[in-house]
Amino acid sequence: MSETSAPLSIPWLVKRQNDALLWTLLAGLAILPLLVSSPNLIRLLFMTFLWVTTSVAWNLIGGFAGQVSFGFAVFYGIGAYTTALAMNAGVNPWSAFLGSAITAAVASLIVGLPTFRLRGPYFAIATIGISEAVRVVMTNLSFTGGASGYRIVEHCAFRQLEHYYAALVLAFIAAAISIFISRTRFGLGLNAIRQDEDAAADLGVNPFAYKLGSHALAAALTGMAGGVFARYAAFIHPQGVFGFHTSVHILLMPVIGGIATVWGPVLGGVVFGIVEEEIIASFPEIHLLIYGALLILIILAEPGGILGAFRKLYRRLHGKHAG
Amino acid sequence: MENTRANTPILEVENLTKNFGGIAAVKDISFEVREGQIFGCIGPNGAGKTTLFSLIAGALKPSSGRVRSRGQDITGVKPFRLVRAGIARTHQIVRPFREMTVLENVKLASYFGGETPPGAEAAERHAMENLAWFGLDRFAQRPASILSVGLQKRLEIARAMATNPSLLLCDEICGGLTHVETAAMLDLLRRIREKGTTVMYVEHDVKAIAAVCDRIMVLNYGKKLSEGTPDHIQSDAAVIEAYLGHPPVKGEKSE
Amino acid sequence: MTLIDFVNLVISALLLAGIYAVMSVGMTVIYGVMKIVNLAHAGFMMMGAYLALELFERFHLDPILAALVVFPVMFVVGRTIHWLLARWLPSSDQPTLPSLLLMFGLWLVLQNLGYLIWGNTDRSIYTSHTLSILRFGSVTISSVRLVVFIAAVACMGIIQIILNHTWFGRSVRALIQNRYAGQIVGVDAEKTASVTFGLGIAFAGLAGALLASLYSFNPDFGRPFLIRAFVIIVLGGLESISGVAIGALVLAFVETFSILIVPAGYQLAISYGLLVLVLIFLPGGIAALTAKVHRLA
Repeated sequence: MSETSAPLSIPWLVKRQNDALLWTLLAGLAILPLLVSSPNLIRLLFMTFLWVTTSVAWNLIGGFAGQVSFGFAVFYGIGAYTTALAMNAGVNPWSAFLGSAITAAVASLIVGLPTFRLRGPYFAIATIGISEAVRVVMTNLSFTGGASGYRIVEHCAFRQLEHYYAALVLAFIAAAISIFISRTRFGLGLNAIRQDEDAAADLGVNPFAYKLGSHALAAALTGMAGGVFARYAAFIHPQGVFGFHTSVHILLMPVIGGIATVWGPVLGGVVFGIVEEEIIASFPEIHLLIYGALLILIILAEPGGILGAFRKLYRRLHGKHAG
Repeated sequence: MENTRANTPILEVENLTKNFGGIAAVKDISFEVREGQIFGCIGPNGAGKTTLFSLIAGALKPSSGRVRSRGQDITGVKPFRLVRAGIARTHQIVRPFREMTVLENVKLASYFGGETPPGAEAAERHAMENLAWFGLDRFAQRPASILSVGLQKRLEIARAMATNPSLLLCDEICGGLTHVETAAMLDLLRRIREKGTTVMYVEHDVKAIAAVCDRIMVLNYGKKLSEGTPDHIQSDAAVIEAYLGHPPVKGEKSE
Repeated sequence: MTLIDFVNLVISALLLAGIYAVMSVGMTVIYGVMKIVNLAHAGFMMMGAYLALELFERFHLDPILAALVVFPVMFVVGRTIHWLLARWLPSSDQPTLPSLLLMFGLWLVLQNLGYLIWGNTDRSIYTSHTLSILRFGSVTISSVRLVVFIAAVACMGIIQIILNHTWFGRSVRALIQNRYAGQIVGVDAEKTASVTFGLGIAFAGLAGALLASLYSFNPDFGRPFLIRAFVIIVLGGLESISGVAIGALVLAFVETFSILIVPAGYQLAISYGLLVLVLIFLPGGIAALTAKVHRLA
């Protein structure tokens, strides 16, 4: 998207010429564990990569397409439990992750088919209802352990780096998909749907199909993130992976970082991952409070999030140009 | 040239009816639009023009009746499918995508308006050509929100035309325009007809319709009141009565 | 199931409907006038509950009476919040994403303030009346529930009176139907919105205080009630006060009688499921359904 149409992007970051920067970043993150040996840092980065994944994923449907879901934890949880069940049944982790993507995508169709004809807040409310319903059911389902949770038993040693690279690759795939979509016809169509669904349809865009498509992509990525998390944690329970606060986190990150942009969700995921891990350690009760206050501040002061604030600053420093 | 093209009805409406509650907003309307025409539809407020328009454009489902295009039944078909069938529409209150550039607004139509989606460069080229034809190319990289209302209306038409329609449905595009702007808009419609696209034009302003249409249909109270050439309509006693509220005084024409 | 059991269940459902109605009315009125979906509703209910708790523990004020104190306090709170936050939202005749996110943020803040101040252990209010039961023949009714029900019905009655017989009520109804037209005929939209918001929050707090006398609660207790409130107002047609009563009755009866079919743990899932079903199949609520039947007849 050109500079003016992605009003909240940092122009020099989305130009194709700067893809090289991204590859450099990826390489840097890939080599990092070999240079620094701090299990805490690796764990922090691992969680950050997962958050970046869910953040970018949610943004595909909630940002690009404008369909704000308050219940994305349902796909995270489905992915988590799919991987857990599959691995305990003997499936290798990588196939399990793929399985998580598939079950989450299928679930997204089941959710989307009836709900995507709802507009705005009705859709948001429906997603809360669905996610909570699934959580309650899972809490009562005995064969997955119910409220007591479910354990993954892996008959090999815990290799932290394997998890690190899995999460890194996943985050990279998510970001790549997001960048790719923003540059193609699909992205333009989603953008049109976000701004004015009916006008988009009047020009030949099939809103229903497009919403379902981006929803499925978003769910698949989120499901995989849930699966990767499940394997790492080796123990999951409905209150956590299906929890409402998980849906909250997933949606907070892109909003804080800059909704409907390519890099906003990444920024949001990074900020969230780092801050979350630090805050949770020191002030366990306050972190949601801070996020709530931040959300209010963002909505009232700078709806474009951190990225939006950066862009305004950038404009002010460089003077107005091309628009 | 006119005669051979004018033999295929590009739009056939048959006994179209729409009920809201107990009231028939549109009752039993039938007409044909032939290829290469500018076909106008007028009527006093509440006559059912907007409802008829919405029915044809796929925004409303009819209670009964059929709509056909070149033999293909398109009754109640979803808007995006109508575009594939070669029918595009504009909106009475313009709806540009404000957060996109003017070029992207049209590029969207180029991408999605055809049978097979073009590549990125082809779509961009097609969009730029379209903008140039409509005289909007100097705004290509500006956000659509900065255009004046008159230019936004032109963008609306440009966008719809970028889907390469064979039939363009225009909904009161002269609303709120000055005399000069109206004349320019009507001229645009004539150029669109010359280019090969049939136009069906729903309008409130009788003068505008009379100036540009080949054939006009008059609605009143949801029913078809009259149909014919502009001259015929303007001297039709029933039409005059509908607009002025009384039977025509000798020599009076509906203005 | 014997007749007595059935009667008991029906009465249970009715009493529940009363409290559900009061709980939802606040949300409806805010949505109708300002088109804001008040996700923070649960937070204000929580505030009401904890206020009642404090009043009970410090001043030994009976929770039902505490509710009377909570109402005006929450009214002031509501108007303050409107002045601080809600009035900056762009007004629209459609609910907007910013309003949704703003109220959501507010809910997070309220809920976690609650955790900070009162911790996350369950609290409850036990008075000498809590366990008393009234008997009418073989039919048993918890007296607290009955009093709460009467209070709830009184509230609904008061709202109806306000809406239908006061100048303010007429302004509210005008804004609900058409904000722009209302302003043209002289309704002060800003002031009316502010007072309406205050009222909506006041009713949320009141409901919370009443609920506190019935159930144990923690700062998160608002959430299942929030979802129930959604079900109710969507069932009722989202902008109609009388619709709220219908929605409350439907939900209360479905919940009460579903105990016969599903194990207790799944009960919440039934409410959530009902919400989704209603949104999908009855977007206009039952009001739209009855209107349609009326037209066809």
